[in-house]
Amino acid sequence: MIRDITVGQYYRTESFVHRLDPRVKLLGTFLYIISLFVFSSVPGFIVSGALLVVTIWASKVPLKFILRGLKPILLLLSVTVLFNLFLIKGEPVVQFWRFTITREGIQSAVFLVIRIVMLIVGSSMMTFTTTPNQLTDGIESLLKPFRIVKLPAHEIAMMMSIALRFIPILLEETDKIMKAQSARGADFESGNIFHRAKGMLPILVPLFVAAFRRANDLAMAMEARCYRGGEGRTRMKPLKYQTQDAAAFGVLTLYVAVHITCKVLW
Amino acid sequence: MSIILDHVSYIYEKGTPQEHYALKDINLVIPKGEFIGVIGHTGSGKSTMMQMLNGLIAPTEGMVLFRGQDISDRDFDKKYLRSKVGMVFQYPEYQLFESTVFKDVCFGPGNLGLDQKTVELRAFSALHQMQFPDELFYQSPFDLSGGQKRRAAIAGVLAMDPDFLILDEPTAGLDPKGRDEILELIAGLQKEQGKTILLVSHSMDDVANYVNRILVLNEGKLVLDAQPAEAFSYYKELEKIGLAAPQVTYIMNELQEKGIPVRAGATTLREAKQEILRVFSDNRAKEREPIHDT
Amino acid sequence: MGMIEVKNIIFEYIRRDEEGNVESINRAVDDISLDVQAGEFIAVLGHNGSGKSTFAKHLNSILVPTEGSVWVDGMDTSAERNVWDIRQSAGMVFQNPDNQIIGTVVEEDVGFGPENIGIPTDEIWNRVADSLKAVGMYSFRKMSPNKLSGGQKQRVAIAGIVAMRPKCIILDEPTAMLDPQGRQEVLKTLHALNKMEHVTIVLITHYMEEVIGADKVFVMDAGKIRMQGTPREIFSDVEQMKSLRLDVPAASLLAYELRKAGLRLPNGILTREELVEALCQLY
Repeated sequence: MIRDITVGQYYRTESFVHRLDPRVKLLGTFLYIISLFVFSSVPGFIVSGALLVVTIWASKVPLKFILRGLKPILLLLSVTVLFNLFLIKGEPVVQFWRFTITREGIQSAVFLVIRIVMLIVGSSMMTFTTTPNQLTDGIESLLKPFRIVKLPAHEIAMMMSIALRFIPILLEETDKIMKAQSARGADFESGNIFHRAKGMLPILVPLFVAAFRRANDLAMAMEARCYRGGEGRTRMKPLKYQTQDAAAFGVLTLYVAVHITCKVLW
Repeated sequence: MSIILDHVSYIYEKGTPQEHYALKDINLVIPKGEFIGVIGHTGSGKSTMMQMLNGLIAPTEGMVLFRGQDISDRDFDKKYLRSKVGMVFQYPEYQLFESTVFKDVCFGPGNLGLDQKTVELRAFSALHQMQFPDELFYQSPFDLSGGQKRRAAIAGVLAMDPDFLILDEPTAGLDPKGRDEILELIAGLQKEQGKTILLVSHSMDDVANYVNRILVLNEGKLVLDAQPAEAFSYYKELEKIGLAAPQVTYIMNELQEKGIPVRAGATTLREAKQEILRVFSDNRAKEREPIHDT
Repeated sequence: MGMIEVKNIIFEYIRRDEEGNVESINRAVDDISLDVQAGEFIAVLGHNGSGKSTFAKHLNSILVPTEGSVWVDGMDTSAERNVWDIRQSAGMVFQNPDNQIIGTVVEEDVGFGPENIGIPTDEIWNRVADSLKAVGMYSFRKMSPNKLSGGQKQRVAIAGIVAMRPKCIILDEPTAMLDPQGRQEVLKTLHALNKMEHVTIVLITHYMEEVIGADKVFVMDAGKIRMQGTPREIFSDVEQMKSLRLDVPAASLLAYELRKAGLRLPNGILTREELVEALCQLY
């Protein structure tokens, strides 16, 4: 179950999107997320959806793999849908007992689902197609101008990439610890919320201990490999904009232009 | 009261192109009181099979029977099963979480709904069985040495008083003396209390020294189920699937090939020693005998 | 000139209470001296808690001795300014392969070290390819480390060190978490590096079968070196090895038992071929 979480994972394959400069992908994702909120209308979603479909197609990441990443947020989705359906006031459509479902409620629920799904899928497209190391390089390079205000660009980027590398490992570890405690008769499913929260301790304590042990080991291993921050480092895969990146920038500009046109026309 | 595996299979990612069998058509009876070695290299399906025995993984095909009941049945009491079939995972010390060793060992029996006194008595008894030093009972488990942590963690499972005890590589990472000590303690549980032990191991030498039955798994199939002497007589076949027999088996077989009339069935050092000495003393006796017939 | 020179080092773990008063002192390394020549394959054998890992961490300046001195490739490890040069010439591989792989793609991980020491891009690529070939992992260069077996991961970790072109590699129990197959892979890789690339190897372990191919073995206990010599010399002393919580190879042990029972077998039997040969001559 826990292995189904694919958010933040890299999907290895050769594709146009994979070859793009990480900075393009970072900026693109940023732009895309903003567009989801700014152009929140039916035509807006169609345009955003079109870009998403094209990106997925060009990335060669199987749809099934992408959809698997949505599983863990199903609960969150259904809760927000219910809240929107029942709590937003407006023109009644269905009425039963004490509940009223309104037209506005339905609309807002549908919009929310579309927005969350496109948000999650869109941002995971970036991590599916970019190795954490590339991502680090991209973030670092984009944050470089902010060094004037003492923003530790390299450190932030490194922290993120390590977090990404250890997510699958810690998930597997959680799975293992859960099994080991289940074998000792632990029960994570029954009881009230307070009871269940307390029941998580046998998982959380070993998990934290393990995470700190790994962090300690990793720090030592990095020092042993002469890591001493961003100063004086060279790059195995330096970032250089290529023709394909120019093309991608073109697509992004077109995307924004279409959005604005739609907004003006409707 | 045995555990029975009846045509058990486990399929990963069923219905996808990646579909493959982690276990295929396993039939097995595990009676009470045996000491069984389970051998196979990484990915042979042995971990999956072990987790099935106490219901952590349900078979995709076939049944696992305990007390004549299918453990996958909805009305089957999983908690009861887990108290009777104890499972010690690899590196079990990573499951320690309480503030003291004693409290941690109480966790398992505490989950069984026993009264506090019984829980604590069981914890004491389990720690004693693992020969865990008394003066460390109320230490934080995180301050212990590797070997002590391992003992505390095994005691945590033992305190549930299981009839069957599954141990997945209980000696991984321990030094030779630590390894021998743990294996001796486990052997004691079988000899003195009649517990059934399933020992998952990579080391043939460990297995040969203790078990009375060997199960060999390869690519999800149970390829061998025999007593040690017989199992290791197939050492050439074992090598083909990436396993090996104990060193003494090779020595005895090579001696035989060189014309020294040893029986090749020895699997432990002591057996090998006795057999070699027997042959050598026969040989000397022969030399001393006057020759009659010519 | 020796690759590593260790002179009378002592290392103490000092535990303090909240006010900073010394609560206890634990001497993990107690007066060790040894020399390692360039190109040697050295093994340090010892049970858990014998101080062998603490000792190993002195060899690339992760720890500096409380007393005494360690010289690596002519540099004093206690001097702050030498630290990075020392780590470059004496690389270190640790026990848990997962906790030392930083990259999510094999080749990027191997490139991490060269990046840190400022190697130009083209040269990094050459080094990554060369070192992955040296450990036999070149065909896995585009894979995620998470998809590899323990032995393969550990070979990637070794490649990550090799890519920094060290003169010496120190391995702190690199096989403790691996299955027998993984252990063999790692051992074969180390011997190949030692023979072909003339890298000095210092292998810390508690598996006796791994030290059989070493040029020289040091056996540690309670922070001291208790025995030293060739593997044959070490394993001849079965009783002392046992008293140090260690094993000897099955052939040595059987020979020892048979000798005790009166068979006139020669001393220093190490392999099963030697034992079979000796028994045949006796028969």
